[in-house]
Amino acid sequence: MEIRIENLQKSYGKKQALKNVNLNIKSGMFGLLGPNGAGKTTLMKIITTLTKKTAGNVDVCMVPVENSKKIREMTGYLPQEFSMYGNMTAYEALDYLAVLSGLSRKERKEKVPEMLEKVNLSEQRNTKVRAMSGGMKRRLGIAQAIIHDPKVIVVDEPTAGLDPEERVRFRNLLCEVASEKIVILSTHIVGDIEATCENIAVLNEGEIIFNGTVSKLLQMVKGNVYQAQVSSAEIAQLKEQFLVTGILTSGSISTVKIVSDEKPLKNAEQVQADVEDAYLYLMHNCTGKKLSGKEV
Amino acid sequence: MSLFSKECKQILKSLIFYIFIVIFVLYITTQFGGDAEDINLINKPEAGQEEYGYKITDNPEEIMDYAVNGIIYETYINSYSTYPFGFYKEIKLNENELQDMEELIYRLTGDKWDDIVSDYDNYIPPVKTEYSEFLEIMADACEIIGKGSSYEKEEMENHTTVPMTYEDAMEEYESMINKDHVTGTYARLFCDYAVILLAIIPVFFGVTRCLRDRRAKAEGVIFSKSVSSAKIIISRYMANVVMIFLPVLITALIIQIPYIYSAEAAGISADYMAFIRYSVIWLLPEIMIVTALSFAVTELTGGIWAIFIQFVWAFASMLSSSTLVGDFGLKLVVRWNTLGGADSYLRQVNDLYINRAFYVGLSVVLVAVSILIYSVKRKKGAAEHGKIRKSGN
Amino acid sequence: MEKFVSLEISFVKKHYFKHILLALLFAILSGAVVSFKNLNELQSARVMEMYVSILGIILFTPLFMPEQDREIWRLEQSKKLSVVNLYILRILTAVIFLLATVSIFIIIMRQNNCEFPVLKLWIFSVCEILFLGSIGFFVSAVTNQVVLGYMAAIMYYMINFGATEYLKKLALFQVMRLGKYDFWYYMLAVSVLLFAAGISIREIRSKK
Repeated sequence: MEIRIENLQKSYGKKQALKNVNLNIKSGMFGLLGPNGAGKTTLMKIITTLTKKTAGNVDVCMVPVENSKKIREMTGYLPQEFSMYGNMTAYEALDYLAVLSGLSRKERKEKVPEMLEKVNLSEQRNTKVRAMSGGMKRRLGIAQAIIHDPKVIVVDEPTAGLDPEERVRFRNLLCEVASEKIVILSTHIVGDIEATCENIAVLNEGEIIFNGTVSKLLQMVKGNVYQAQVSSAEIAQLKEQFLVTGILTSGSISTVKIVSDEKPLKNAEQVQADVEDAYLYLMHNCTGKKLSGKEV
Repeated sequence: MSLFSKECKQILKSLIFYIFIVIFVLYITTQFGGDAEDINLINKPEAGQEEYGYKITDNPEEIMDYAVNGIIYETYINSYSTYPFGFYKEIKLNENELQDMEELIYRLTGDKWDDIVSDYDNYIPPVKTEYSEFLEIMADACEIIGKGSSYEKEEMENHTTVPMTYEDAMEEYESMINKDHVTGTYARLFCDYAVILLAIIPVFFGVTRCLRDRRAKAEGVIFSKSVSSAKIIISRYMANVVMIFLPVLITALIIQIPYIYSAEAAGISADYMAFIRYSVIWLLPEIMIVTALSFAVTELTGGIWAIFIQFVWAFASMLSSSTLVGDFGLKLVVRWNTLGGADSYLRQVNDLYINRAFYVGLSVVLVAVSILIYSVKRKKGAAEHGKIRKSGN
Repeated sequence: MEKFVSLEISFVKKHYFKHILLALLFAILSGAVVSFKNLNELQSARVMEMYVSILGIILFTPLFMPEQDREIWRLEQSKKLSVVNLYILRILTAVIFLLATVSIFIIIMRQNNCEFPVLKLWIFSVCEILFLGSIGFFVSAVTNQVVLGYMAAIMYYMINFGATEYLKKLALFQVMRLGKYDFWYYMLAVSVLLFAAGISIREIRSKK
C-alpha cells in the first residue's frame, strides 16, 4: 500500500505549481510541510483526482490517478475549506456525503452514528452546519473523509484556524484513524507535523526540498541550535546575522534561539533542536532568505 | 434513489419552494378562479341568443372583409401592430408611406381616402378584389409596414375570427361534451395560465441548486466523492422537476373538482383524468426544458445568467405569438387561451405533441451537456473555473 | 467618504460591472425590439413601463452580490466602516444609472417625434422602475439570496400582465393602460420603505 509519485509536474498557464516532484508515501501519517503557495494543495488535488497533472505519473495503491472513479472510492478528502449546506444537521450532512460515497442505506444507518461518535459529534448530531464552530466543522470533515473506510485519507491544512485545544484534539483524532491507512496531512504549522508524523516532505515553490523521517530532518540541525540571552535592542541586528528561530522577550532581556554552524554568541549554549528549527533552517538554506521564528 | 430523495427533501426545506407554491396558487386562483363562473358554458346554446362567441374562419370573403377593415382602422389611427423580432412593435408611417397606403386601400375598396375619413364612423368598406389580387395588395402593404404585421398571408389565414352562428355554437357544445367531456376544456385553459409561470419559475430552482455547492463551500468535498457526475446531476435535475411538478399537479386536481361536479350535475360524464393528462403533456415538458437549460447554463457559467436568458426566451416566445390559441409550432410557451375549441384543438394536437416531444428531447440533451460540464469541472478542479480562488495553494 | 468611494468603485469593478453591461446590452437591444418613432402618449408610456422597467430588476437586485459569500459579509460587518452606508452608496450608484438610462430613453423618444408630457413620464418612469427594483432589492437583502430577489421582481412584473386589480396603487403599467400618473408618489414611498426595511431587516437578522 503506497502512493507513488514520479516526475510529477503541474502548471497553470505559465506558472509552474509543481516541478518534477518524486515521492513515495507509505502507510501511516505523512506530513506535507511548506509555506503558503508552495504547491501543497495542488499536489493533494492531483492525488484526489480533482486536478489534472501536466506530466509525470501518480499511482495510488497501484491505481493510476487517471482512473478517477477507482481513486475516489479509495480516498477520503478533507479540503482546506470544508463546509456543507448550512441548513443540514451534522447527521444529515454526513448522511448526504455518505450517499455520495456510495454507501447503502443499511451501511449508513450503522456508519453515520458510529462516525459521529468517533469524532465526538454525537451530542451535536442535530446541530445545523451553519451553527458549527471551525473545530466542529473540521471534525465533521474528518468523519465524512473516513466514513467509506478509504485506504488513503488526504487532509489539507486541517488545523488552520483552530484554537490550541481543538488543534490537539484534531491531531489525536487523525492519529487514531491513521492506523492501516495512508494519511497525508498538509500544513504550514510545524507543530502539527512534529506531534503526529513519522515521515515528511517539505515543499517549496513546487519543489520537494526534503523527504524523509522527522529524525532525519532533526539530524540536519543537531548540535547547531543555540540559545542565548541578549538585550531586546540587539535583536534586529542578530536577525541580520543569524537564523533566529525563536524569541522570548521579558522586559529588556530576550531569550533567542539561533540555528548556526558555529557558536553565534559568547554566552550562547547548545540546546535540543526541534522540528521548527530544522524546518526554518531548511527553508533558510533553500531560499537564502533570513527567516524569523515565532515571537512571543 | 436515496440521493434523489435527499435532494427532494432539501427542496422541501427551501424557501424558494414555498414562495413558488404561494405565487403559483395565487396566480392560478386569481386567473382561473374567475372563470369558474363560466361553468354555464355547459348550458346548451339556444336559438335566438344575442351572441355565441367566436371561431377562426378560412373563408376568403370573411378574411378579406376582416383584413380590409383592420388596415383601414390602423391607417386611420396611423398605428400598425407588428411582431418583427418576436416582440410587439408599433409602427407609425410618415406622410409618403401613408399616401402609398391610402392608394392601396383605394385599390382594395375603390373608395378615396378622403371620402373614407370624412364619414369614418359609418364607413363600411366594400371589398372589390379577387382573393389573389387582395393577397398581392396586402403583400405591398406589408412592404410598407415592415415585417410581422397582421396582413401577412399566413397570419390572415390562420387568425381571422368571426362570430359563431347558432349552428356553430351547437357544434362547439357537442364537441365539448363528447370530445372534451367538459373537464378537457378547462384543463386546456388551466395549462394556458400555468405554462406562463412555468416558463420562468423553474430557472430559479435550477440556478439555486447549481450554485448551492459553491455557496455552501461544499464543492470541493462533493467533487472528491466516488459518485458519478451523471448520478449527481440527474438526481438533482429529477428532484427539481418532480418538486416543481407536484404542486402543479395537486393544484390541477383540486381546481378541477367544481367542473366535475357541475358536469355531473348536468348529467354529463366528466373526464376525471383530463387535468392530469393535460398537465403531464403540456406542463411537465415545460418544467423539464426550463430546468434543463438552467442547469446547463449555470454549470457552464457559474453565475446567474440563466435567469436572463430564460426571461428573454419566455417573453420572446409569449410576445412573438400572434395568437393566444394554438398554432403551437416550436413555441416554448404553448397557449390555448380560450374555452372550448375542441375540434380546432384536435386538428392541431399532433403539433402540440411534436412540440412537447421536441422539448423533452432537448431537455435530455441539455442534461447530458450539464453532466459533461460538471464532470470536466470536477476533474480540472473548480478553482480553475470559478474566478474566486487563486490556483495553487 | 473617500474610503466609501473606493469601496464602491471596487464593488462596481468586481461585481456590478457585468450587471451594468447587461443593462447596457438590454438598452441597446431595445432598438430592434421596440419602436421609438412617432409614438403617442400611451405608446411612449408602454416603452417605459414594459421595456425600460426591466432595468430596475437588472440594476437593483444584484446589489448584495459580494455578500453571497457569508465570510465576506461577516468581514465587512467587523470593520469600522458601517455596512449600511456601503449599501446606501450602492443604491445611489444604481439610482444614478437608472436616472441616466431613463433620461436617455426619454430624449431618444422625444427626438423621434413622440408626443408625451416629458416631465410627468420621466418622474413616473423613474418611480415605477425604482419600485420594481426595490422589490428585488428587498427580497435579496432579507434572504441574502440574489436569485430569490430576481424571482420576486420578475414574478411581480409578470403578475402585472394579468392581476392588476388586486395590486391597486402599486400596479405597474398604469400609464400605458389608463393614462394615470397619480401613483408615482406611492411607488416612490414604497420603494424608499423597501430599501430601508431591506437593509434594516438584513442587518438585524444577520446579527442574531
